[in-house]
Amino acid sequence: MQENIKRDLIYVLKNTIRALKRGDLAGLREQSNKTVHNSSIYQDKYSISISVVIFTLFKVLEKENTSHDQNWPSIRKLILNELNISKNAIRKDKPYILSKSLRKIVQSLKKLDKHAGHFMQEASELSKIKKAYGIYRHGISIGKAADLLGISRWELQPYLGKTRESENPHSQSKPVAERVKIAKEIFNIK
Amino acid sequence: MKSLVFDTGVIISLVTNNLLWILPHLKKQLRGKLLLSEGVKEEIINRPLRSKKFKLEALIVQDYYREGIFTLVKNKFSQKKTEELLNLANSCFQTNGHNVKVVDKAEIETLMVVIQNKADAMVMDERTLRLLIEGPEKLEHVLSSRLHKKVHINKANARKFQELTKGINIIRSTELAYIAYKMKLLDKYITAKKVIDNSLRKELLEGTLWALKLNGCSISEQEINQILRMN
Repeated sequence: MQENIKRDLIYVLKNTIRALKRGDLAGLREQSNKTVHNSSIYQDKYSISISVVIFTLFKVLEKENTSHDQNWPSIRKLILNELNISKNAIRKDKPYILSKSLRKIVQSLKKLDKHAGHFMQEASELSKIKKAYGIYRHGISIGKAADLLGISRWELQPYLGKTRESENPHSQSKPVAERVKIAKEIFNIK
Repeated sequence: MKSLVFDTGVIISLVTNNLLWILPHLKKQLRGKLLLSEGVKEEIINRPLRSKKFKLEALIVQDYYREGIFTLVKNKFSQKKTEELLNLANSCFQTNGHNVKVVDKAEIETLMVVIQNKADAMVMDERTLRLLIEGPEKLEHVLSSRLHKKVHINKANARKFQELTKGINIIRSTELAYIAYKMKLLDKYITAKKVIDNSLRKELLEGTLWALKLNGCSISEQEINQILRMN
């Protein structure tokens, strides 16, 4: 892992631990967004995984009754521990420990979701779509963004359509009249 | 014979708006072929058929494929050529001394099918590859402004990519819908008891273009309004 990515991820994980200890949901969301720059530039799988895990954590905690769940204190302790392990794994260049640790966080969140049906699965899917959107927003193609997050374009494209991204004036590369003219000529329509 | 090469996104836009049925009519009007690359077929038919999500949509597209509306085209260029174009596309922009990989292999394969078949147009709703072909400096601006970092355009590579893709026309699902509208194909939506309500024609076009936009076609509100003013 490149030194600058390591430094950024350690910083993000430190702040995530702090936000989780404080129950600061906005802080969690902010940290998950911070890795999107690196995900877009370096497209390294760890920045992407960490971003998805933090956003999933945010979505699960955002749910009203999560913090009242009787299992939450022990799960919170486990997550904080795993976040620390992740941080040290990055520092010591041990990606397999990082992957294992991130998996444990997701598994522990699933325990919380036992009674809530498919919420966790939905939160995880939404996290991937949101992060893929973040990468697309940075100028990366839909195909590349979907591929990096392991989702299909079927899932991502309708989500992008609901955003304001196509309003960006730099998204237009040819006058629409010219494009319509090309289409008319091809189809021989007056 | 004329031909159009379809990217995945356009088919998603059309099928999610229940507009795929316009394609046989457009094909007839074109008097040509609607081409699909193997990568696109994999994304729109094969992969969703293996899952539960979007299986119905994949079956609908597959039906059109089996009817012969689409023609599958193999990328006859070598793997090496495809990799070369992919690497070229993905080395047009740099930040922090690092190439920003902006497109993926399936998108480049579709582009190669366009080049190989000298197609009349690439039908694509996606923004990034379109900008790379038509205006890389615009993509540079999107990347710089969103990454909050100076992104350098590698002018030599961007120029080489533009030379290889020179003359490629790009249209979107919205332009296809506009043609369908001009051919009065969409009139069935404003026809009750065999009477066309012409007072709804503008709304019909507006509604169609917005539906495509909201399902992912990269078109701005301003562009939609410009199309509406063309009538």
